[in-house]
Amino acid sequence: MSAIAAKAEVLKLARLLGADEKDFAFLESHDALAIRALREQMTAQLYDDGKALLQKVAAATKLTPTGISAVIAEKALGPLLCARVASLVGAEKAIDISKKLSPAFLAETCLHLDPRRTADIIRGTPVEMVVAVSKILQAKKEFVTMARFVDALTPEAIKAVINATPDEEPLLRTAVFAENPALHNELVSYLPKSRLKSLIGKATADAELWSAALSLMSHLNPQWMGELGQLTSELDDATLAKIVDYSTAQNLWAVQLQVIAATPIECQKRMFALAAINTPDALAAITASARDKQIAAVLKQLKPQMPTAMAAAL
Amino acid sequence: MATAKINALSEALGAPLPTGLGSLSKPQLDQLAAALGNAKTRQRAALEQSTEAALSHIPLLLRGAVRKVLFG
Repeated sequence: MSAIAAKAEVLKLARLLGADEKDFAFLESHDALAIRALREQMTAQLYDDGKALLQKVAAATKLTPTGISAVIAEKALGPLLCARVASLVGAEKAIDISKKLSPAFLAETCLHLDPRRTADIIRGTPVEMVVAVSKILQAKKEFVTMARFVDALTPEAIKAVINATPDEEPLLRTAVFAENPALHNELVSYLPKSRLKSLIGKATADAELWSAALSLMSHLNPQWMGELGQLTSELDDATLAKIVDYSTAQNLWAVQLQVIAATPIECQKRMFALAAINTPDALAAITASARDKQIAAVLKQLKPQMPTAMAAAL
Repeated sequence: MATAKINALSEALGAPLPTGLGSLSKPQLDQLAAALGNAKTRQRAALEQSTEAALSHIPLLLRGAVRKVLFG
């Protein structure tokens, strides 16, 4: 789980520095929160650097008619400097200018924008513009960038983006990178059951996506964790076998077991009756995950729902 | 912010490294510090270039006032 978060943080750091994320691959083995703290320190450095001139640009922008400011933003300043100046211009003026900018330019600006410094602007941006920009970011597979904005957007804007996104895969890829995991329950609640079912189905396409789905589920409250766990247990045997393989190969059993534990007993029995889970490799991986005391307790709670041989092997 | 070790990165940041990054090697810290320095240099150059370019889009009537705000 933390590997995904660390990789996302490295990508955000590289984006901030205008570098290739491969240059900082050595950071991926470090704690995601430490990398985020480093990124925040560097963000502060870059926002402070040249602040006097940025403030002058902001002051000049206030003197200039909105339409002309928009032309200057796109033709002269460019996305990086617009992102730096945005928080200095004042939310009202910045929102008025943003309404006259092209969605493509705004999408580029989003790559450089610090949502924490521009939350008022983001919340004041018309929903239809947010949707238009999100479509461009999705097409560019900028899920990490989209995730940075989840915290700052209004629920209405998030719902509009979800409704305008027919495929659940980009939603999953975005949600997993959201910086405030407490929002995950809210995000999941915006999706009707049919779309949650589709999301779970799409997440089984490969190990990376399933790992992302489990990372998302790990932050949910027991009700939503159980809901998604139940939808998982309703998949066919062949798909569930793939999930078992992913969890074994990627060491995901610690979360997978907690998700199973959140489901009704019938769902737990269905999962443990799978042939794929009753293999030496899967059982060994489950045993290894239970070295953690918390997971050992979960496993103990689940044993009554396991076939006798499986319970005896663990 | 526990690591008080002096290195190129903490000097560039003007602060100790975040807790959890204490095991970074000197070349890795140097690389991160250089990347931050390069980003600052690029940002400054872009800012100077674009403020001049911005003036050409300002109507003549406003240009003097805007120039005064930007360059004193």
